[in-house]
Amino acid sequence: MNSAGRLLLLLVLLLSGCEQPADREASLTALRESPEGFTQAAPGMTVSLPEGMGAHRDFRLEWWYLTANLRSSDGERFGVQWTLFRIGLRPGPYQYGAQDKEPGWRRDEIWLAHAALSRPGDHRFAARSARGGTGQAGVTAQPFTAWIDHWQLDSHEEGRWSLAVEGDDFAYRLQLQPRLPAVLHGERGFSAKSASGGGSMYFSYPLLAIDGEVTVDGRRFEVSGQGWFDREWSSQYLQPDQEGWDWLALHLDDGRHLMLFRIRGAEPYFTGTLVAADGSARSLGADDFSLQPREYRDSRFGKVPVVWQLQLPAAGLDLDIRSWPGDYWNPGRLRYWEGPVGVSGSHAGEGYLEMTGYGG
Amino acid sequence: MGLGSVFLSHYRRHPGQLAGLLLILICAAMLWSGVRSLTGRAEHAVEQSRAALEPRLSVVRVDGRPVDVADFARLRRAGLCVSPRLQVSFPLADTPDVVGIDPFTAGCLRQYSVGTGVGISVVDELLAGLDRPTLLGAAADLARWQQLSLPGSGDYRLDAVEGLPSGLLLSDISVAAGLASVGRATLEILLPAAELDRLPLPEGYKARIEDYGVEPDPLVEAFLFNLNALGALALLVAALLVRSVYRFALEQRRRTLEILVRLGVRPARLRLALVAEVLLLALAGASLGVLFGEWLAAAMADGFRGTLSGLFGMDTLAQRPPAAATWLGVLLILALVVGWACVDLLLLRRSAQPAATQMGERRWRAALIAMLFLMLASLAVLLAAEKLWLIFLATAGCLVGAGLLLPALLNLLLARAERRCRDQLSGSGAPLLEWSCAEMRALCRLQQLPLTALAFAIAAVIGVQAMVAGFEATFARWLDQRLRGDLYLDPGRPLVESAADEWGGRLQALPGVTAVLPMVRGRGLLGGLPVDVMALDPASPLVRGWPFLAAAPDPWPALAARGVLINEQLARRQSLALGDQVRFRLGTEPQAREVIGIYADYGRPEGELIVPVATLPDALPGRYTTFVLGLNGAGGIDWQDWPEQYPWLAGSRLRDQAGLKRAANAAFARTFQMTRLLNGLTLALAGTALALMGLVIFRIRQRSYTLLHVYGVPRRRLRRRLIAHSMLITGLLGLLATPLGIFLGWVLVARVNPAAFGWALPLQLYPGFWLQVWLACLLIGGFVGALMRDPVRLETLKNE
Repeated sequence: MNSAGRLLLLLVLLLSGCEQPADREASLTALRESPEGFTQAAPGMTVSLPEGMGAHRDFRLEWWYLTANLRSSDGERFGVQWTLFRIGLRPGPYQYGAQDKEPGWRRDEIWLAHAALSRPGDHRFAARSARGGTGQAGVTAQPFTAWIDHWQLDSHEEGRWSLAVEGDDFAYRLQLQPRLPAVLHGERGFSAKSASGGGSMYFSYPLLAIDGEVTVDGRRFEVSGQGWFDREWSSQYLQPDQEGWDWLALHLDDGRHLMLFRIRGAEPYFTGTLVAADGSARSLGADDFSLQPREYRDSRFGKVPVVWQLQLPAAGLDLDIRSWPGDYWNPGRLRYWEGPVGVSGSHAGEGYLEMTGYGG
Repeated sequence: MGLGSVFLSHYRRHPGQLAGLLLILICAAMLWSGVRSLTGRAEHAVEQSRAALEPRLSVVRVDGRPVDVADFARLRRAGLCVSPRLQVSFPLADTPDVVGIDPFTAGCLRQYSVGTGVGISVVDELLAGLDRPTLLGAAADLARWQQLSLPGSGDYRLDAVEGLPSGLLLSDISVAAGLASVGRATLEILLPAAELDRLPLPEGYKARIEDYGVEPDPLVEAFLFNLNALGALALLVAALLVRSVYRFALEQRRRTLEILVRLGVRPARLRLALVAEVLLLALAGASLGVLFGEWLAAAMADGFRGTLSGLFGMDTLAQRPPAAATWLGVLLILALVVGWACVDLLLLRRSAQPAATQMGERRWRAALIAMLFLMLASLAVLLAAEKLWLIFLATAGCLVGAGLLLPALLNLLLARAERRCRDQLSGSGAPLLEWSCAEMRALCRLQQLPLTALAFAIAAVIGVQAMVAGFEATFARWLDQRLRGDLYLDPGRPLVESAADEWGGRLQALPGVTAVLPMVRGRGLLGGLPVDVMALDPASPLVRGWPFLAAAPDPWPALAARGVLINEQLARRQSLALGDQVRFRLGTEPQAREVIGIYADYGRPEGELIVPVATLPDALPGRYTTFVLGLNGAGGIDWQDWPEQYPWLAGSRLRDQAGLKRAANAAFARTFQMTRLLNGLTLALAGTALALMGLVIFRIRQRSYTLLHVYGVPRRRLRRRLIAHSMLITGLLGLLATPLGIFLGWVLVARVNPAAFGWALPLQLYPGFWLQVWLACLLIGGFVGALMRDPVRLETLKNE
């Protein structure tokens, strides 16, 4: 088991209060249960910036999530994902008296990072993990920096960011420039995940202009493209009857951007955000759009929907969203699909598809 | 009557034959699977030990301050795969140390990334226990921890885990950090040595060797190879026996089978039936044999565990059910062995007997010449070969050649004796003596294969004993001379040079201490290769009387002035001899000194050189100082209490040299105890098979005994004569096989050891032990003869 898998096992064990190695059902439990002491995201809570870029230690789980669609000068396509997770073992803030600011060997939180590089038919993945408190991993809001070991996402003057990641068989060094301001999802940042309440605090930078270099098996490519950056924190993502989600972040050629997800359960729950070219955003509900799987693919971990149809009549969208050929599973006990997609139909575009809870 | 019942009827008439055949098959399968199972377990344990012995570096600060959490984070952020280790020791004696590791980064060190054998590694255990402080350790240490209930040690979950070294409890580093205030905590930041080939250390840090990372491969491989070779020898012995018994049985059935063919049974069907019989026999033998083999392995595992822990300081031999692969392997091997045994009959050859004898004679001679040639060629290869497998292969060639020649030699001896009786002796006893010689020749011919097997067994016993006893004697003597002084002191932590001097002074002042010899160990480079370095004070009385394999006159003063001592391994590897100039690097300092002595250094694959302590630079990688103390009458001094009496000695380990010798001796003694046990079993197997065959063969020879009885030789005398024949054959075989045994012993000490370990042992002969083996041979012979109670049966003459 790789270190990420182990960590997710730990996550499952800790969060589900289970002593034995848990099965996949228990893995999902991790996303469903709300342990005592942690703050729960609720309607009425708001997101403030730039504090929102920092850690929220009173919440149990949060992530900094970048996905990017890139192209080399000779037209080769690349997908990049980099995610930093923070998992609270106990609710913060953490007090150590006089040594509050001193680094130490603690057992309060875990940091976990996933990096993936995708090409059509090829998906590479690397993971790192660290305990909180030592300085080995962390996030600062001002200036914004997120790091684990030598993997690092930094902000610089003029609002530029840079990302450096090195795996065993791939690496990337990218410069990122947010082109649109942050968009708060749902109700001023509270993004409901079910009709009965429960959800997360969620905002995104919907358009990052990106350039830099990607190295695969020692070959270097100059790349450029666009990306999507998510910030999300919660203590309970899913309700007990929910199985997982299908999430999409799309960049359309007309300058609009879309975030959509479907949470699968007894009652599927649909929500999304449409971002106009000028950065103005509109929340979408189940009545506004329909998102349906059209084709499935036999993958390493079972059948997954890889072609989707999105209809959003009010915005004039009828899109055919198609995953790149290949298998884009990020392995581990709580494995998930994270892969680039192409968009055709009424509009052309590109983006990322994320799926959890598939493949029993 | 079906074909099956015809086949069965043979064994119904000769149940002893079936039982004997099965017994041999079971014994062979048992030996083989037992050895396989043991080596399988050992390989697993070795894999873990190897992980524990990975060369590790410890990162230290250039400014000399101890490393802390921030240093760890800095190194991680520089991209280095480092992992922390926080060891907390407690003032109370016998309290296990708590070693805290970071399960998130522990994967960097092979030591923690290898499982404990039960499927889940300690790292996983620690991760799963993160929500509640957990201590992992051996059951005894956990019990001790519970008894002590240290102040502030809190409420821990205690999990017994097999495979952890005794005397320490493993925990998450945060748990150990919580205990740091109660005891003394030392933080180390470790990284695998290979990591620095990838990335340099950031400014302000340097690495020192935390663990030499002795590569135990050659030592272990030779050990396992020995064991496997012995298993193969057992199988070879068994193959010979099965072939002889089964062929003998088939010979008796040849007529039945021919009748069946004449009655219209198709030969193809007959062959099929024979194959089915072979498979059934193999299946039965293999199943029971594997089962017994597991018992054997379980019974021997304790000794084995001791051996491995002696070699590696590890304690891991998981119980495992017999692997299907072992079982199938045994089945296949047995089917091949049995198949080989009946291959003649499968072909259903029918040849005219007289021609066959003539042909046989010629072929026999050709075979003898071929054997001689095989032996000579193998011997040539053996003398030239450096590779271990080639040495083993050549030895096998010599053994097979010699083993097959031995019965022929025996036959030749008896033929000469027979001629002598006929030509030179006269008197009433002479014809009987001549008959005896002829009779024994007949027995040799009939028993050729079991006798060869016995010869192998005898040779193995003598050879392995020569090696084991030689090793033990030499090793004990060497240890005795090397471990001069009365006490060995390990300070429990590295001492810098000034601290070592201070310790030396303080130790000298302790009551009863007459001499203090600091021994500094470290790492150096010789010709680009890392070597162990030991530094001593050549003037100390405690180094007097060291044995050398070769030395200049007055080596100790020469060492102080200009010389260096090297161990045998280094001398062999680098082709160094007395008087050679060697250039080596200690830390950053290049040195050139003359080889003034070569010493034996058993049990270790590494090269080592000894230099005077005065020439040692301060910055020697892996510098670690220990002390040897001479006491004034060790009996009256309570040195055991010193660590409690003197605070500066806290955390150090004192051991009396006698105890150290005992432990070292025990480790090596156990290694060979098992080899001996396997030898004994092989000998017993050969003896049993010989007895089984003897029973049948003597029954064939009954006619000649009965005739003699009819001619007037008393029954009792004939019986004594039969026993004498049997004893004489096995006794003579024992004598003839002894040189083969000596040869085997020589191969082990003079060929296998240098190739595997880098050092040779003197070959020593143990005639006392040979006497024991000869006696055992006579006993086997006597037993086989005695089984045949009465050689006279008048009904054998009925058809005359």
